[in-house]
Amino acid sequence: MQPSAIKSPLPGNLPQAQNQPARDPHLSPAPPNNVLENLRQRLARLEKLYNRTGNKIVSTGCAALDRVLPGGGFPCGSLVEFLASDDGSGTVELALRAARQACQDGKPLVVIDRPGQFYPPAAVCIGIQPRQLLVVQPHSQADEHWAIDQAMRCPAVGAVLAWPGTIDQRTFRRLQLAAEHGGGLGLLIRPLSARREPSWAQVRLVVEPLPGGTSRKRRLRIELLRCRGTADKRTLEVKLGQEAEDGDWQT
Amino acid sequence: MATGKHDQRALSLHDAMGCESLPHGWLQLPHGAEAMKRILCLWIAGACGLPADSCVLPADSSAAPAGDAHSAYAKQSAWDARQQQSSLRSRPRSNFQHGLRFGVGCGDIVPGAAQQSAERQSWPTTLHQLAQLCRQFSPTVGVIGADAPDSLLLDVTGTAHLFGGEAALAEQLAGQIIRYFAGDPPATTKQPGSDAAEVYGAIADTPGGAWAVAHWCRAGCWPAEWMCGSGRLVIVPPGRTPAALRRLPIQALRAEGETMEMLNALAIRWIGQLEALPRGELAARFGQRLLDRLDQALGRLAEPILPLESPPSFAAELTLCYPTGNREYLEAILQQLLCQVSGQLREAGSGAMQLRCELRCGSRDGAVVQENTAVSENRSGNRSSTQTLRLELGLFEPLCDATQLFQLLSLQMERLRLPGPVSSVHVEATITARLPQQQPRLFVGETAGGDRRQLAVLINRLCSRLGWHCVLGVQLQPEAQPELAFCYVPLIVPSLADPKGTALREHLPRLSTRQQTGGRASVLCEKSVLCENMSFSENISHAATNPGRKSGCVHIEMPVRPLRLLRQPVAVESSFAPSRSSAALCSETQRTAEDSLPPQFRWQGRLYCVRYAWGPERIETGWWRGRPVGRAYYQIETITGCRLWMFRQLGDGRWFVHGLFD
Repeated sequence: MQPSAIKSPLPGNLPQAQNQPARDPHLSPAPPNNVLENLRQRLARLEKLYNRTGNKIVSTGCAALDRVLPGGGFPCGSLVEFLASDDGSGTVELALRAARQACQDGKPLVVIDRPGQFYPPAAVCIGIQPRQLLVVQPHSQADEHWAIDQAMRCPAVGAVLAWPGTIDQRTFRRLQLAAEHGGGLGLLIRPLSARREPSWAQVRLVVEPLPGGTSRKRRLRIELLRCRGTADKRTLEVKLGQEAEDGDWQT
Repeated sequence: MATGKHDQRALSLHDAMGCESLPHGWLQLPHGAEAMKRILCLWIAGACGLPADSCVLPADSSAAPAGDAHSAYAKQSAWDARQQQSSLRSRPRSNFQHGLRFGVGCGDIVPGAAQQSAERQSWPTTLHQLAQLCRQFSPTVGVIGADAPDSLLLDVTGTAHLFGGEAALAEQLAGQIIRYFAGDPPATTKQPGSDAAEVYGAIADTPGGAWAVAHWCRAGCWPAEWMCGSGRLVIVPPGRTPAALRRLPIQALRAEGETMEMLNALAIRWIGQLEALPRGELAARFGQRLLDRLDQALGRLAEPILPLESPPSFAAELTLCYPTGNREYLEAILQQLLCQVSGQLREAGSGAMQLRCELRCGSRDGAVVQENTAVSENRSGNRSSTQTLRLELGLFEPLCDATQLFQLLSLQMERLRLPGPVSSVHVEATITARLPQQQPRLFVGETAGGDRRQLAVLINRLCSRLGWHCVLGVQLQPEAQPELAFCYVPLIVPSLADPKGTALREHLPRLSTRQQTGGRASVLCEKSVLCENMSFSENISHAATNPGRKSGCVHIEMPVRPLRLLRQPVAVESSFAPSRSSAALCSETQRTAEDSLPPQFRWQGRLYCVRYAWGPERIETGWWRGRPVGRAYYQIETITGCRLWMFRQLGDGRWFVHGLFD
């Protein structure tokens, strides 16, 4: 991306340049696994990692997911995109758990709810105080994008939850810049059909529900579609409980 | 000084009526009485203090003062008892039946009246508005003191001839007041003196005297030539005020309760009686205050009228010689006007909570007709040649910064379609509030107040572009019915003139019933919003000061609810034919969800196969609302793992989808 291009000649790369002759000799005889690993490391360094702006990292509210993410959570001041595979898939619940963590210091959670179907008592169940909720109900898509932008740009906002259906690249980039400016966590819930679209989100997750047993705890399969700082795509299964989460992860 | 014989003569009401046989003792006005001021007192009966029928003399009062003290005392105590009763009973009647729209003190006494208090403004506000009304008749409009807030006093010295004499002035004024209370447009005004509002007036030489005569205006003891305005106005001729006062009871002096009791105990009922007593003893026994009151009423001591300051208005207007439709010019004008308004606001130490901007547009052909009705945008463009476009700006917190106000207004300006060139621009802060004290910042751009301030800026911006009905706070309600378990509260004062405000129900489908009922929803909203607004911001700030508290720890115990609730439950087509996939699960399903849970159902054109169900959660409520609800809710998981919130209607057993566990 652009920032990495700017930052590549910075001192961070100097030791790498010194290592280069040392690494070169065993580059050709090395097994391909090692090459890939080296490339990954270099890519990560080039991408200047997950938390570029040095913001606080908040837990996702799901321990298994925290373990997979490079910083141990979502970095504030960035966008996180959740691709929901279906209605009733539990994606919003996952997002709200992250929002709860981002709004722990009493900052408000702005919900941009264009369809007007958001049900605040359920958010309260998840652990967000009613007084922290600020619901915005725009009537058009332009207003919706504008409202997300405004809310993301405000430093007083802890997190923004929105359901933008389609976003063009310019708007998406604007939202990302707004998130960087405001320092809040942008949680965008989008349909799975947006999977092929390019994205400015720091983390992209595909969330699929899994049929559970008789327990009310939900089982979700989370696919880490894209995450800055790690190049590998992982899929993990988590179980969302009421209090503590237990989950096991698999690559 | 006053001898016994003198006393008898002075107290004789018949003598007083004649006005010629007045004693010429110390009661006479001092020299220069003809240069005495003329004061008009208006008493708005029943509005604030005494009830309308309290100040009526006993029927045979003429005989009382001179007659035996015992019978006079008996009558007086009977009168007192009636006064006490009526002050409790007749107040609401006199308030509401006689068209007194705005009221006051009675809300504290009468339980029923408290409910109506939301639609009434406070008495001080009304008094200020009345004072504004009266200013056309006199430059000095005020009250006599805190103990008589239901009366307005006007200094009409030297102004009566402008209105055709004192009688004409008083009648004009009374007519305007009645019109104000009737609340009708001027076309349908009632004649002054009709029963719309109980307004009594008197013109006398002193404020105290005018107050007393106005309150005992219906006493029936005034000469016919003094009366005008169908018995509601008494004009005491210059120099006759002491004579007029003498025939009034001592209550007309506005003395304290203790003094009154003492005077009652001594059977001193009438001002004339009091006057006859030696001055020195009067002061020693009853205090200097009573004597002062007496002297003030008689004109021997000056009594100030406490002027009512007109409430400050924060407005600026610019009329253009050449109407323009150029947006850049208009924005420059707007900026200039906002600077003026914000300067006025800053001077007063307050900030705008609601700002109104009116653009008067002429039609394309340039003919400008004065028309004050606000026509909403895009409407009746061809009907009138002038339209007034109105922009309303509601604010979350008081704000007096011109730049920010302009930014907020321009959010609305950019969406506005001008029907023609603008001929005048008017900006007014319609609702203001005290600005919180802030340390001024040295550097530009440094924002004071931190998060709270920035949040206010965000809410202002959102409300300005999207409308107040789109930016909402959440309040949980103790209701079992899921769709009523919370309500949205607007965060800013809704603008009453907002055309969208009429569609309140459509925009806020889940607005609380408190705000939905009644045609005066907007007024009620304003009240509740202000409280909610405050509590919201307080909560925010409170939470910000206690960052150590983990929200995860404060877990509110609530039943399981879906994150997406459909606006209306949608009936599903349930199919009971066991399909291949659901046949195996049927037994499990039946175990948990009674016997009637459909193994599969169709909703929105999709087939859902039920894998498992948790429930039921029975909710039977709402019978008192006239729409009883009986539902058995199940959390249902389909074979793909999606979860829905469904219920079976208890009456007919139909199945509905009500929410999704997104």
